[in-house]
Amino acid sequence: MFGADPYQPPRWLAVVVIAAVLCGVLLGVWLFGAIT
Amino acid sequence: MGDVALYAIGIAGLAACLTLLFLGMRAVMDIGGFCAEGGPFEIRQRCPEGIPLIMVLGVFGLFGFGALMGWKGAVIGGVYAGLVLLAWPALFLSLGWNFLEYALWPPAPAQGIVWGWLIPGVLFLLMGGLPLLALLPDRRPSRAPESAELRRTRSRLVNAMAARAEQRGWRVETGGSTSGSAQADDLVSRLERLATLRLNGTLTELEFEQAKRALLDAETVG
Repeated sequence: MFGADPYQPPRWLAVVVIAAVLCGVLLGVWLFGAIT
Repeated sequence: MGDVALYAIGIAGLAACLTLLFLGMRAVMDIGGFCAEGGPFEIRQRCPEGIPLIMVLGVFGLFGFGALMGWKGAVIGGVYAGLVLLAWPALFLSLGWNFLEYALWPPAPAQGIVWGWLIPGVLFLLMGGLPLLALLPDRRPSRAPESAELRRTRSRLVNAMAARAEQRGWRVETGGSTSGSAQADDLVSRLERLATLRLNGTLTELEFEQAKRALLDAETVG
């Protein structure tokens, strides 16, 4: 599964992934506060 | 570029839903671990405000954003296709942590260890943690072990045999199909097999030496 695909996408995608996770967590915390 | 943007939205949405579920679960556990809303029932424990909406959003969003992430990840390719699977350990480890924390340090009226939360906590941690083990790099050799020692011994033997064959006038390096060369190749391959048997433990050092001697003697006589 992981690493089975020889195609390697660009490195900056990893930064996008990490940034998206952090933004998502912040968004979740904000949403929780806004709804409750 | 659109694929990457949608992929990022999928990841962020998934992370947001996991966060909502994590916080929503804690809010419910704070009031004893259960609550109810709606329906023609007399409700003993009402939910904190907004919690039903948060739980519904969290659960359905998990699947929706997860699907988006998996779809666009597959378009991008590489490791990004499988990254969505990490949502499983993320979900079970975070909720499992909630169970464990509230089992060991329960809120006000409860005291000591709450077994009803400890057991699902351990189960959740196992469900989330064990699949992560599958992601660890595979350390086992893929086929028959070809150790550095085996390679060194083999190349030493091959070199020694080549030198010996040369002394006897066989032409090893010529690449021609002379009988002398074939004979040397045969001897070398037999010695290689012996070395392999020695290294994988089939032969003891003494047996190996004897077999090697016998092979070389036979070759000298022949």
